[in-house]
Amino acid sequence: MKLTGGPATILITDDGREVLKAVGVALPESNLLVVDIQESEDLGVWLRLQREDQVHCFLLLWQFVLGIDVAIGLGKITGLKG
Amino acid sequence: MEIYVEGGRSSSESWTRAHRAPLDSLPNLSEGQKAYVSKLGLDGEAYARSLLAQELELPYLEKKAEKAARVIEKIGAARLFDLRVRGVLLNTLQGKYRFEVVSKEDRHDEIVVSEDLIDELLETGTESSERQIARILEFGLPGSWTVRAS
Repeated sequence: MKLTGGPATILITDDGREVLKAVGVALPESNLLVVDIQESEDLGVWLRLQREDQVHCFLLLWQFVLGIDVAIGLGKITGLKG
Repeated sequence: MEIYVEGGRSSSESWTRAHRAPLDSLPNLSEGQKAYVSKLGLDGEAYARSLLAQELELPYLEKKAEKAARVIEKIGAARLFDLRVRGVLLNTLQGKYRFEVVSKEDRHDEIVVSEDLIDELLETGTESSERQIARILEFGLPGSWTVRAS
Protein backbone atom coordinates (compact mmCIF):
# COMPACT_ATOMS: atom_id res chain seq x y z
CA MET A 1 0.00 0.00 0.00
CA LYS A 2 1.43 3.34 -1.06
CA LEU A 3 0.41 6.09 1.37
CA THR A 4 1.36 9.28 -0.41
CA GLY A 5 -0.59 12.48 -0.51
CA GLY A 6 -3.84 10.98 0.55
CA PRO A 7 -6.64 11.68 2.95
CA ALA A 8 -7.22 9.04 5.59
CA THR A 9 -8.81 8.41 8.93
CA ILE A 10 -6.26 7.54 11.54
CA LEU A 11 -6.69 5.91 14.94
CA ILE A 12 -4.07 7.07 17.40
CA THR A 13 -3.09 5.93 20.87
CA ASP A 14 -3.70 8.08 23.94
CA ASP A 15 -0.01 8.97 23.86
CA GLY A 16 -0.39 9.90 20.20
CA ARG A 17 -3.20 12.20 21.20
CA GLU A 18 -0.88 13.92 23.67
CA VAL A 19 1.78 14.22 20.99
CA LEU A 20 -0.58 15.88 18.52
CA LYS A 21 -2.04 18.10 21.23
CA ALA A 22 1.46 19.20 22.17
CA VAL A 23 2.11 20.37 18.62
CA GLY A 24 -1.15 22.29 18.46
CA VAL A 25 -3.34 19.97 16.40
CA ALA A 26 -7.07 20.49 17.01
CA LEU A 27 -8.43 17.10 18.04
CA PRO A 28 -11.94 15.67 18.12
CA GLU A 29 -13.23 13.95 21.26
CA SER A 30 -12.26 10.50 20.02
CA ASN A 31 -8.85 9.25 18.95
CA LEU A 32 -10.06 8.91 15.37
CA LEU A 33 -9.23 11.86 13.19
CA VAL A 34 -9.27 12.83 9.53
CA VAL A 35 -5.74 13.55 8.36
CA ASP A 36 -3.90 14.12 5.16
CA ILE A 37 -0.83 11.98 4.67
CA GLN A 38 2.09 13.48 2.82
CA GLU A 39 3.87 10.12 2.83
CA SER A 40 4.75 7.22 5.06
CA GLU A 41 8.15 5.82 5.86
CA ASP A 42 9.86 3.40 8.23
CA LEU A 43 9.68 5.79 11.17
CA GLY A 44 6.07 6.81 10.86
CA VAL A 45 3.64 8.83 8.86
CA TRP A 46 4.11 12.42 7.73
CA LEU A 47 0.92 14.42 8.28
CA ARG A 48 0.12 17.71 6.61
CA LEU A 49 -0.83 20.42 9.08
CA GLN A 50 -2.29 23.78 8.19
CA ARG A 51 -0.43 26.19 10.46
CA GLU A 52 -0.99 29.91 10.83
CA ASP A 53 1.97 30.72 8.58
CA GLN A 54 1.89 27.91 6.01
CA VAL A 55 1.46 24.18 5.50
CA HIS A 56 3.73 22.03 7.63
CA CYS A 57 4.48 18.32 7.74
CA PHE A 58 4.64 16.52 11.05
CA LEU A 59 6.12 13.05 11.53
CA LEU A 60 3.86 10.95 13.76
CA LEU A 61 5.81 7.88 14.81
CA TRP A 62 4.25 4.47 14.13
CA GLN A 63 4.21 3.71 17.87
CA PHE A 64 1.39 6.25 18.18
CA VAL A 65 -0.70 4.80 15.35
CA LEU A 66 -3.15 1.96 15.95
CA GLY A 67 -4.79 1.90 12.54
CA ILE A 68 -5.37 3.75 9.28
CA ASP A 69 -8.59 3.72 7.25
CA VAL A 70 -8.25 4.66 3.58
CA ALA A 71 -11.01 4.81 0.96
CA ILE A 72 -9.97 2.92 -2.15
CA GLY A 73 -12.77 3.45 -4.62
CA LEU A 74 -13.09 7.17 -5.14
CA GLY A 75 -12.07 7.21 -8.75
CA LYS A 76 -14.27 7.44 -11.81
CA ILE A 77 -13.97 7.09 -15.55
CA THR A 78 -13.01 10.56 -16.53
CA GLY A 79 -12.95 10.72 -20.26
CA LEU A 80 -13.69 9.02 -23.52
CA LYS A 81 -11.49 10.26 -26.29
CA GLY A 82 -10.74 9.07 -29.77
CA MET B 1 -9.02 6.72 -24.34
CA GLU B 2 -10.70 5.79 -21.07
CA ILE B 3 -8.97 7.18 -18.02
CA TYR B 4 -9.71 5.85 -14.56
CA VAL B 5 -8.26 6.87 -11.23
CA GLU B 6 -8.78 4.51 -8.32
CA GLY B 7 -8.15 5.74 -4.79
CA GLY B 8 -7.74 9.30 -3.64
CA ARG B 9 -4.73 11.53 -3.53
CA SER B 10 -4.04 15.19 -2.93
CA SER B 11 -0.97 17.33 -3.38
CA SER B 12 0.12 19.98 -0.89
CA GLU B 13 -1.33 22.57 -3.28
CA SER B 14 -4.77 20.99 -3.61
CA TRP B 15 -4.87 20.24 0.11
CA THR B 16 -4.03 23.87 0.93
CA ARG B 17 -6.70 25.13 -1.48
CA ALA B 18 -9.25 22.78 0.06
CA HIS B 19 -8.39 23.93 3.57
CA ARG B 20 -8.78 27.58 2.60
CA ALA B 21 -12.03 27.05 0.70
CA PRO B 22 -15.14 28.72 2.14
CA LEU B 23 -17.58 26.44 3.91
CA ASP B 24 -20.25 26.83 1.24
CA SER B 25 -17.91 25.47 -1.45
CA LEU B 26 -17.32 22.16 0.31
CA PRO B 27 -18.89 19.08 -1.29
CA ASN B 28 -22.13 17.81 0.17
CA LEU B 29 -21.62 14.46 1.81
CA SER B 30 -23.58 11.52 0.44
CA GLU B 31 -25.77 9.51 2.78
CA GLY B 32 -23.07 6.87 2.96
CA GLN B 33 -20.39 9.43 3.77
CA LYS B 34 -22.58 11.02 6.44
CA ALA B 35 -23.11 7.60 7.98
CA TYR B 36 -19.35 6.92 7.92
CA VAL B 37 -18.56 10.27 9.56
CA SER B 38 -21.26 9.75 12.17
CA LYS B 39 -20.32 6.15 12.94
CA LEU B 40 -16.67 7.00 13.51
CA GLY B 41 -17.36 10.32 15.24
CA LEU B 42 -15.25 12.22 12.72
CA ASP B 43 -15.12 15.93 12.09
CA GLY B 44 -17.51 16.33 9.15
CA GLU B 45 -15.92 19.54 7.91
CA ALA B 46 -12.42 18.02 7.92
CA TYR B 47 -13.77 15.03 6.00
CA ALA B 48 -15.47 17.28 3.43
CA ARG B 49 -12.26 19.26 2.98
CA SER B 50 -10.31 16.04 2.37
CA LEU B 51 -12.86 15.10 -0.31
CA LEU B 52 -12.50 18.52 -1.91
CA ALA B 53 -8.71 18.17 -1.92
CA GLN B 54 -9.08 14.90 -3.84
CA GLU B 55 -11.53 16.44 -6.29
CA LEU B 56 -9.12 19.31 -6.93
CA GLU B 57 -6.31 16.84 -7.57
CA LEU B 58 -8.26 14.59 -9.93
CA PRO B 59 -7.64 16.57 -13.16
CA TYR B 60 -3.91 16.43 -12.50
CA LEU B 61 -4.04 12.67 -11.95
CA GLU B 62 -6.09 12.20 -15.13
CA LYS B 63 -3.55 14.20 -17.10
CA LYS B 64 -0.74 12.21 -15.53
CA ALA B 65 -2.38 8.91 -16.48
CA GLU B 66 -2.96 10.11 -20.04
CA LYS B 67 0.68 11.14 -20.32
CA ALA B 68 1.73 7.71 -19.02
CA ALA B 69 -0.37 6.10 -21.74
CA ARG B 70 1.44 8.16 -24.36
CA VAL B 71 4.74 6.96 -22.93
CA ILE B 72 3.64 3.33 -23.37
CA GLU B 73 2.52 3.98 -26.95
CA LYS B 74 5.75 5.79 -27.76
CA ILE B 75 8.04 3.13 -26.31
CA GLY B 76 5.86 0.44 -27.87
CA ALA B 77 6.21 2.03 -31.30
CA ALA B 78 9.97 2.45 -30.88
CA ARG B 79 10.20 -1.30 -30.10
CA LEU B 80 8.03 -2.14 -33.11
CA PHE B 81 5.00 -3.18 -31.11
CA ASP B 82 1.71 -2.75 -32.86
CA LEU B 83 -0.24 -1.33 -29.95
CA ARG B 84 -2.54 1.46 -28.89
CA VAL B 85 -3.60 2.21 -25.33
CA ARG B 86 -7.37 1.98 -25.15
CA GLY B 87 -7.64 2.68 -21.44
CA VAL B 88 -5.51 3.41 -18.42
CA LEU B 89 -6.23 2.98 -14.73
CA LEU B 90 -4.04 4.69 -12.15
CA ASN B 91 -4.35 3.00 -8.77
CA THR B 92 -2.98 5.60 -6.37
CA LEU B 93 -2.72 3.26 -3.39
CA GLN B 94 -0.86 0.54 -5.26
CA GLY B 95 1.20 3.10 -7.17
CA LYS B 96 0.55 1.25 -10.43
CA TYR B 97 -0.82 1.91 -13.88
CA ARG B 98 -2.88 -0.76 -15.61
CA PHE B 99 -2.99 -0.20 -19.37
CA GLU B 100 -5.50 -1.89 -21.63
CA VAL B 101 -3.75 -2.19 -24.95
CA VAL B 102 -5.17 -3.16 -28.32
CA SER B 103 -3.49 -4.08 -31.58
CA LYS B 104 -4.58 -3.20 -35.11
CA GLU B 105 -6.02 -6.73 -35.35
CA ASP B 106 -8.18 -5.85 -32.31
CA ARG B 107 -6.34 -8.13 -29.92
CA HIS B 108 -6.55 -7.02 -26.30
CA ASP B 109 -4.09 -7.37 -23.46
CA GLU B 110 -3.06 -5.70 -20.21
CA ILE B 111 0.21 -4.20 -19.13
CA VAL B 112 0.97 -3.16 -15.55
CA VAL B 113 3.72 -0.62 -14.89
CA SER B 114 4.78 1.00 -11.63
CA GLU B 115 3.89 4.65 -11.32
CA ASP B 116 7.37 5.39 -9.95
CA LEU B 117 9.02 3.95 -13.06
CA ILE B 118 7.11 6.22 -15.44
CA ASP B 119 7.60 9.16 -13.07
CA GLU B 120 11.33 8.49 -13.17
CA LEU B 121 11.36 8.51 -16.96
CA LEU B 122 9.33 11.70 -17.19
CA GLU B 123 11.15 13.50 -14.39
CA THR B 124 14.73 12.43 -15.05
CA GLY B 125 14.70 11.05 -18.58
CA THR B 126 16.94 8.14 -17.64
CA GLU B 127 17.55 5.56 -20.34
CA SER B 128 17.41 2.77 -17.76
CA SER B 129 13.78 3.54 -16.94
CA GLU B 130 12.92 3.57 -20.65
CA ARG B 131 14.65 0.21 -21.09
CA GLN B 132 12.79 -1.21 -18.10
CA ILE B 133 9.43 -0.14 -19.53
CA ALA B 134 10.40 -1.63 -22.89
CA ARG B 135 11.24 -4.93 -21.17
CA ILE B 136 7.85 -4.91 -19.47
CA LEU B 137 6.25 -4.64 -22.92
CA GLU B 138 8.51 -7.34 -24.36
CA PHE B 139 7.76 -9.79 -21.55
CA GLY B 140 4.15 -8.78 -21.04
CA LEU B 141 2.94 -9.04 -24.62
CA PRO B 142 3.02 -12.03 -26.97
CA GLY B 143 5.72 -11.91 -29.61
CA SER B 144 3.01 -11.87 -32.26
CA TRP B 145 2.32 -8.26 -31.34
CA THR B 146 5.65 -7.25 -32.83
CA VAL B 147 5.46 -5.70 -36.26
CA ARG B 148 7.57 -7.71 -38.67
CA ALA B 149 9.87 -5.84 -41.03
CA SER B 150 8.90 -6.56 -44.62
